[in-house]
Amino acid sequence: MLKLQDLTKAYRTDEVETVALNNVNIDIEHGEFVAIMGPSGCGKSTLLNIVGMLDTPTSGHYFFNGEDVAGYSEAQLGVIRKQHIGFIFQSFNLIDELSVAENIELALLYHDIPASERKERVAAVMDKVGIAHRAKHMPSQLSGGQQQRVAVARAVVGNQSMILADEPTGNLDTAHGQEVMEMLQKLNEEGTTIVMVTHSPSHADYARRTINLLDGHVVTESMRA
Amino acid sequence: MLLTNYIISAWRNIYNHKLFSAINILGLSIGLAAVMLIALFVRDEASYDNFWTKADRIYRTYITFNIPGRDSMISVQTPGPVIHALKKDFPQVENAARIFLSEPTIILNGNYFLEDISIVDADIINIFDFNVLSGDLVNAMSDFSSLVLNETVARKYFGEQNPIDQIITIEFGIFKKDYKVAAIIEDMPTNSQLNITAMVAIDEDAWKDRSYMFEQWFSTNTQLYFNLNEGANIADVEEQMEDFINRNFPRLPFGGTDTKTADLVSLSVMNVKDLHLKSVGMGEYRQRGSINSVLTFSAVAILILIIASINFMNLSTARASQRAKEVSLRKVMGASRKNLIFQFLGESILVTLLGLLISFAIVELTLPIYNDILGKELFISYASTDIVSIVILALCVGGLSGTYPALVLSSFLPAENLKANKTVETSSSVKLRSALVIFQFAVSIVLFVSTAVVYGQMLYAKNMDLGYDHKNLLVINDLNPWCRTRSTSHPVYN
Repeated sequence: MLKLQDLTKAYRTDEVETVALNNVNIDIEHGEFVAIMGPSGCGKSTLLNIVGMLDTPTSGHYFFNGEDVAGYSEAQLGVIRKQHIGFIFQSFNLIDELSVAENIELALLYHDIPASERKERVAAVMDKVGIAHRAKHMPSQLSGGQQQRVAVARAVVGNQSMILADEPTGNLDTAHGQEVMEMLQKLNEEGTTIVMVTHSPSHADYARRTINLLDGHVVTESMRA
Repeated sequence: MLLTNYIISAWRNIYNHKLFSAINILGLSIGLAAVMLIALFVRDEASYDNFWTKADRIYRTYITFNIPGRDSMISVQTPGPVIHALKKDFPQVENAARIFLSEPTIILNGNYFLEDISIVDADIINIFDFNVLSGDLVNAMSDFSSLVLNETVARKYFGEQNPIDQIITIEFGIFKKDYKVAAIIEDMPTNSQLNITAMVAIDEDAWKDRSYMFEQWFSTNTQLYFNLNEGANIADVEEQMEDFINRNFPRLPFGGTDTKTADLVSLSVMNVKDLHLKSVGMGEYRQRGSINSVLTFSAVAILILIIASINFMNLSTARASQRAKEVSLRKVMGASRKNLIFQFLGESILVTLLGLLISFAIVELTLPIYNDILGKELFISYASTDIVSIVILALCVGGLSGTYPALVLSSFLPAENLKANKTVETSSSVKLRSALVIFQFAVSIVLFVSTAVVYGQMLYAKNMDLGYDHKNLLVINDLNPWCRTRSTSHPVYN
């Protein structure tokens, strides 16, 4: 599904150049569940941003469904992103001014989908993540676990083929963290590709493959039996 | 609908940040209210006398005396005989009429009143539009014993009674005569330099003993209005004015033998629409406006609008960090920059429209005091294009001041925001904001100081020592010498 080839990302200021990713080569197939691990500052988030097309590489190639998107503009990347990629963040990132249902619907708003279909899909996905009874609540009225369920619902409501999760359990207690992981696992079983950055080895165990990064390099890749 | 989502998001943003929204909306509404009040004043000042059907071809003459050894003197009153010469020499003059505003004593049922009576030539009704409510205006103006009253004056003297054919005695000083009320006209609009509340036709024979009134060539007592035939060019009249003077005016005993009258006297014309703001010289019957105050007030209005917009822009961009997450998220969800600019511009316009509603309330509450100060009767006409222009103005303010925040907000990069949730306002945006704040304060200080100076001047003019005590002081005009001697010898005067 995606292939990173000699991918490098460097940040330049007037005095120094920091290389966040250095000649990274990664292949991820459809339906995979990949965990990315490594110490803080190793380039995990940069990698996820590039994969999620929120950032562009300095050099190298990024093939998404066979198309090299490395040199695409922000607008071109936006079109691919909204069709294929869903995001889950550590800090949930729900819009405080919108209700649960409206937050989820946001993922469909910029697609050309009629209102009635949007309502149906939002209702269905709320049922799926068990948040339907909170549809009209505002994010501030929900617990962390509930907020992350809303975020998961938002990530999948558009039938995205890939979900990028940036430490999705980082702000949750063990029980809620577990719940979210099970949800991701279920999505993966249904065919969604999942790429997840995590610090937690136990949560990384949900993935079939773990990529370890250090100082912008892929150091090890391990497959779960 | 995307639009519904924008409106929900905008409304909840306003509602959830009440203090911020209140400052922003109130600032804008005070600015808009000030601009509306000034615009009403400016529009009224600029609208003087442009409503007459023949406004484009109605002129008033003014005369300038350049007597050697004296300051030149301008009068908007023209010598009485000029009208006859004008009609004779210029075939393009369709109608011409003089107006002399007098304040005689009128006697009704044994009671005495002072009333403004305009003594006019009959042609006045062919130059200006008079709306006749009752009676016959044309006959009234051709009869020297007829009197025309406007609605207000008629009601003042006759209440609900029919005023037509009622007799009023007028004591003009030189003669006293009974007049029959022959026509009632609608009150003239207040935005006119003309102020005819009651009028009688000029009877030159009756004024013979005061020849300076209508007969002398160098006595200025009446305002002279005329209108040209359709298609005639005023420049043709102006061009011939020198010859006209030399031909008709008697010679003046100033200058050398080759000095012509036109070297000492000039006669000029001004279109009726320009009279209120541009006319100069003495002899005006109604207070003039000033083109300078109109320009100054217009500039002040523009400055206030700019301050209000900058205030709005700064408040919106300063709060950008709080919206960074939303912007980034919407981008992640597929919003294009265009979508976001549209959303934030729409939000600005929504806030502006709320500000506009409040500004209407402010204007309506302050208009009575404002009218009192200005001595005008200004009002917003909600059933006219007023409302369209005001809404367009507000939309422009909202649009213009919303553009910069919209550009700043929509430029946020999600990758930098969603992770750390930190402010990503660029340093150039911060610098621009500081510059705008400095500009805003500078303009505000200038306006404050100007207001303080004007207020100080007004206080001074009000409280300055005039050199006499104006209380218990009676001013009597037009007394004969014997009367002056007799009255001042009375024991009540000291």
